[in-house]
Amino acid sequence: MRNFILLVCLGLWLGACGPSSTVTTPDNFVSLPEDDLDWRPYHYKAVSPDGAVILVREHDNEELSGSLAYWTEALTREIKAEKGYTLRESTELKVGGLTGNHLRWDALYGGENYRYDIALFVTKDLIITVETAGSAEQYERYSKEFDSAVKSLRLD
Amino acid sequence: MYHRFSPVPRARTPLLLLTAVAVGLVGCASGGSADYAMAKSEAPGDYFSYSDESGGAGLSVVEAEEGKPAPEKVQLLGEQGGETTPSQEGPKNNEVTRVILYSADLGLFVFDFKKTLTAAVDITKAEGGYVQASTSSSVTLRVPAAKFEAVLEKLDKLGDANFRNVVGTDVTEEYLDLSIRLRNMEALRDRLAALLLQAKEVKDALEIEKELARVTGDIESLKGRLRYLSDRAAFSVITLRLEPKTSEQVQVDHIPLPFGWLRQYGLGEVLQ
Repeated sequence: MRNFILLVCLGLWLGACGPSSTVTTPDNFVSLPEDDLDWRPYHYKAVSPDGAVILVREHDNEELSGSLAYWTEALTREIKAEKGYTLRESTELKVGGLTGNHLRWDALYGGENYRYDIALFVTKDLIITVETAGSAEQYERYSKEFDSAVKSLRLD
Repeated sequence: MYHRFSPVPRARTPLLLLTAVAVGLVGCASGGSADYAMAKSEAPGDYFSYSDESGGAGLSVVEAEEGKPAPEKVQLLGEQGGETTPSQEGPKNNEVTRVILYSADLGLFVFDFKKTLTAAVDITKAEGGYVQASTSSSVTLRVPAAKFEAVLEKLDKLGDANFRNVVGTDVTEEYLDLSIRLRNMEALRDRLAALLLQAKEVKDALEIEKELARVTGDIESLKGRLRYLSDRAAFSVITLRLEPKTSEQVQVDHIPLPFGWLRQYGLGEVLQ
């Protein structure tokens, strides 16, 4: 009986440790198996056949209790200063009951023009981001897929 | 050769008589009154003229007063519509200013090549210039000589400086030499044409025509070179070369926050 209780507690703990956000993989994209993402700082990655990427990350906000405005400014400052990207647009976003900010960046990567968008959502316990990235050409080609992935974000 | 940033520093010296070079022209017995003048841009002090009104001409090199207007475009007077009088403005006859061809090579670190190149072209066109050539990471611009420095300053602000080289090449001597040779050749052509009319033998006429053709070819060649120099003097060349700006060149003016995961964002991580 004691072992059973321990097992149940362990199961609940493990369950609580797993990622709680999911997105639907769009057509033309393939998501990587979870095992391939071990030790990666993200728990979801999908790629198009020519390398455009959708990425989902989660960070703990339970102890930090930062607001959406706080993390938006922190992330914006960090990317501007450290990466040198240009913020093209920042818009409010409502998805699945969550309110977030969509940060759209222009970036130079390997001498080519790239687009890099981060949809940032903040809850009491979590900071969730959905990143979409690709060359300017890929961005045009997959804009619908990128949008559908962001809009499909759900919290368990 | 001049290596400096300002294209017309000497223009700040009012009516500076740089050099008085009297060149006695020998063999100019055409008796013609053709005048050749070149006004190099509207930059103060940039005026060039050559005249020969008495069969034996004197040439001198001067600089005009600062602020004195000069014709907007470099031209070789005497070639257009039979123009034979020197410009009404600028220095007196028998005087020339220095003819200097300015060019600049400007290297910048930028994030966005396309935006920077578009901005550079806009700046150039606003100042009356044009694009001579362009690639995905560089552009060769031609700007009016008078706007050379102003355009360079504006382009400089489009990114972080990588390198900047400004060169001025003095072609005054070549220009004068070509002008004299052109005048002599035209006089020779006129004499040959007169001789051709007087030729009685077919053999003589053919010989003269052959010589006339050679001289005419030389004249066109000289005019072409003069036109090139005039154009180069009127429109300076600025070559803008872009290099990608990476985080190493970014002026970091913020204090990193103690959340390491923030620094994991970016294309490097996402596209790996």
